[in-house]
Amino acid sequence: MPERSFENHGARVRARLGDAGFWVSIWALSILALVYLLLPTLIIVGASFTSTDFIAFPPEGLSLRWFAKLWELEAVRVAAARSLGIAAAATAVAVVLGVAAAFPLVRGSFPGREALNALLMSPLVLPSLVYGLAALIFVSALGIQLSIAVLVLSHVAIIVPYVIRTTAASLALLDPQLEDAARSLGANVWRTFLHVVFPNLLPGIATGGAFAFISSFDNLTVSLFLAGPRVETLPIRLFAMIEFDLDPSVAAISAVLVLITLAVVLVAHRAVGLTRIVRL
Amino acid sequence: MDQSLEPGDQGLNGVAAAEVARSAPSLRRGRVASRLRLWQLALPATLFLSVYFFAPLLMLFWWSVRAPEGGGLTLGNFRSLLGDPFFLQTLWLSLRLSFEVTAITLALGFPLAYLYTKVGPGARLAILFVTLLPLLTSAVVRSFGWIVLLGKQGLINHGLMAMGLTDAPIKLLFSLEGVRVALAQVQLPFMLLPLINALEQLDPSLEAAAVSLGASRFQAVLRVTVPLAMPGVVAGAILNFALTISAFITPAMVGGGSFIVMPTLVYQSAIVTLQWPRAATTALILLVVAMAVVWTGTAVARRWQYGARPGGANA
Repeated sequence: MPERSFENHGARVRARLGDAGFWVSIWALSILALVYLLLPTLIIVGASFTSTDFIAFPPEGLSLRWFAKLWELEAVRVAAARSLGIAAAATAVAVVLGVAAAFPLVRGSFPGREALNALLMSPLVLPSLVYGLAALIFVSALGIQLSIAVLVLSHVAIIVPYVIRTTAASLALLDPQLEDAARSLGANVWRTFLHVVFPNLLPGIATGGAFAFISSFDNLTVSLFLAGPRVETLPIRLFAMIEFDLDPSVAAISAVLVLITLAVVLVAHRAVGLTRIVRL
Repeated sequence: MDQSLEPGDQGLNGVAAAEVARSAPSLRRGRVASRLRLWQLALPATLFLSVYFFAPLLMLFWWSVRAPEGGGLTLGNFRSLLGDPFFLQTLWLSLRLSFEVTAITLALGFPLAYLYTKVGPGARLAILFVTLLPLLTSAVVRSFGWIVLLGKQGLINHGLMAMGLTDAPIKLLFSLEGVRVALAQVQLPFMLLPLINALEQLDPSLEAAAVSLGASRFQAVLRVTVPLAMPGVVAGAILNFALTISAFITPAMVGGGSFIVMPTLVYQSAIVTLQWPRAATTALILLVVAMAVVWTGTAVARRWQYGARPGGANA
């Protein structure tokens, strides 16, 4: 018997070593993945503080001159204001359409509900490049001039699924009897919506709205097709600057965009928590 | 309902119960969602997408099959593209690039997603944060980051030279290798989210059981966890493939025109050379190829999953 237990012991040691190797490789690959995910963002934010006239990483000297210079670049300022306006308008329309559509998708029990869901979600699946081209051909076939309104509506089409999805997730968690209770206590339909339903849906709407806003604000692919030659959004401006006159102010703009993204992630975290967003 | 009440209850409570019972149907109708017929609330969004999303897609299809002289249908656009060696070469490059990027994201995404299920809440939050931040960062910004990283004076070339792996800077920017690396980073979050979602739902005691029965941790993961997480793996891989093959920004910026992929071709025909029928046909071929891969992947995975299930179709 002692021999056998010795053998067992040897096997166990080998298994331990094997497991250690397994965990070392899991951790090594994970750290590699995390660094890989963060690297481009860190580089840009770092490079934006350079005091040199060219993009350098690690930055040489620390200065905020390229952020200060952003105010002097009128084209950037105009494009940024335009992009903010477009994103705000598109998000507002998408929230109205999306929140309304979430109700039947969650509470309804009519034939074709699944089909309706697939239909309303399809902008998420279709490549936005294909949609951009399709919308351009469609609009010009109807003889409509490209304008900011056309651009806003095309953004609405691609961001409305975000709002529907997050609102539907919140709505699925809301007990319908709460509304009955409010009604039986004398609240009318609108008061019930305003004071009972809406506050409960707010986290979902805020998350979906934040995702919708950032998707519109950052959109380049659809805008390239539909903006036309005269309307320049911030991503289009940035795209052109990187191609034609690259200097550290591009890094400064990018750093500001990263900051806005950070704000969106924090809004989503405060509203529903990052761990729940994964399941949306 | 009144009958079930005790006689002594027939004061205020009885009246209230009767009131509720009487008004129950109208209450149900009074829920915000059911005051209108429910489906009508989806009408604005459905109408909007029909006009502004689906009609354009139909129009795209129409432009690809319409005969140039007006009148009649033709497959001429498809025939001329599919007979063009340059086009086929581009299609093949796009397919290959998308497969490679999907493989990279899977190889890096699985370990991190697996680790996510084994660490505490703080570390989980950190992993999710690092995943979501790039996911929501503009693709232009991320591609710009890679331009800075991959350049001749960039961090990667500095690192390679410092380690003595190369004497002179390697051409990474404006090359296929650079685009592969950058695209995989852009797509990695789309792989991580479905993987985390799938792995999180598994019962950890299954893997633990395999280990206690003598399997090494690696064997347990390979034989128990991976097969169980297969739906998530397939979902992530398919999503990645479809997004990569239609990615325009990163190949255009990091590739810098040194090679052409399908989305570049669509953009060039539409905006640069203004050949809309050709652009529409290219876009449709891209769409069909992407969907074919998605469907084949789903079908193979489903079949494989049923085949592998003990007591399933085989038993």
